Amino acid sequence: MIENEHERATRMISAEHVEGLPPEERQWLKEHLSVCFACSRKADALSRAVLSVRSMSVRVDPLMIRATVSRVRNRAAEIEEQRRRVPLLWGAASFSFVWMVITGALMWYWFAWLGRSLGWADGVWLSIFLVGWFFPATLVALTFVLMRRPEFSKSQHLLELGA
Amino acid sequence: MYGVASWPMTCVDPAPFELEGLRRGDPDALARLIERYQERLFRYLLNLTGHRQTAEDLFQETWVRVLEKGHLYKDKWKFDAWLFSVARHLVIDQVRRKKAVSLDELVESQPAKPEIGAGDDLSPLELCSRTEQSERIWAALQQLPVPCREVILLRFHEDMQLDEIAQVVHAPLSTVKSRLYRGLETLRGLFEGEQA
Repeated sequence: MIENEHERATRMISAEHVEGLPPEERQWLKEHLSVCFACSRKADALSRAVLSVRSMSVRVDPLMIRATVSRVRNRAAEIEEQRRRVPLLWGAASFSFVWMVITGALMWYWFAWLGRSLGWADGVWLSIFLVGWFFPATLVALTFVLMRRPEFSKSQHLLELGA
Repeated sequence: MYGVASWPMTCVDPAPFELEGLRRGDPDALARLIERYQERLFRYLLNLTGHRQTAEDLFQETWVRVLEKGHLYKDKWKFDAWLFSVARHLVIDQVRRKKAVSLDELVESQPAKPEIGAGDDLSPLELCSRTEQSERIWAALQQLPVPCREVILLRFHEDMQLDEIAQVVHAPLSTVKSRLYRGLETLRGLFEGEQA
């Protein structure tokens, strides 16, 4: 299909606003619009539409801005607090790990000695070692994790409510 | 009482020290950026959601997210494009939470026309005229599909380049162009109809 002059002009009217036109096409469009009332009306309508979009104004509530700044500051303080805790947490975890390795070995020998002294089978003192040495720490860790969860969801909920 | 957001914007890009503050999570730097970009971001969100309260909530969420993700910001990005991109993701997240599948769904959830107005330093007549004009273009924009409305606003209100718009909307350049052409075609039709 051969594009007629009006279709070409309509396409160019939009193209001028979207990506611009090369000088020769702009000149052609200008000449066409000067003699074609229908296309000129289209160009005028589109120019007014674009101008209206550009001049559109929207009210911004200063209270919302203040609330936003305040919320950002609160969140920044929370993040800072979390950052401060990270080295402490890593230090505690590292110390616990080293302590566990050292004392774990000592306790292993102590349980083995106790088992032999009391005449227990290897399986018995090994089980007592596992239950007495690993499980309490695991249970404490699990309890700690489970206790923290409801707090987290509650604070999230409050956050969503804007409290 | 109200700040007014209108084109042309005199919003300069953030200074390097502000961007450094953003990466460090400095709340003072963030406060300056909020002050500077408040109108543009709010207008973008308002036009995207069509709902003042939702736009206000998302506005706050966006700046909190900017604070949390500020360390990921790279100098090669344009700050406004990055900011709008963050805001857009939050809008999409919210739509998803409401069981919708795309931005088009927002069209169906516009309960109210937002408050539109002009500056306090204008005469009552000018104020009335600008308010009327803003309401008219608002009504016209609401008739566009959200993806078209979004690119129209980014192009003509935020004065963004096509490649920046593509970065914000995460779409190929050709898609951005076709949305722009489609949106302009509809707007032209609406304004031609008014003229007749």
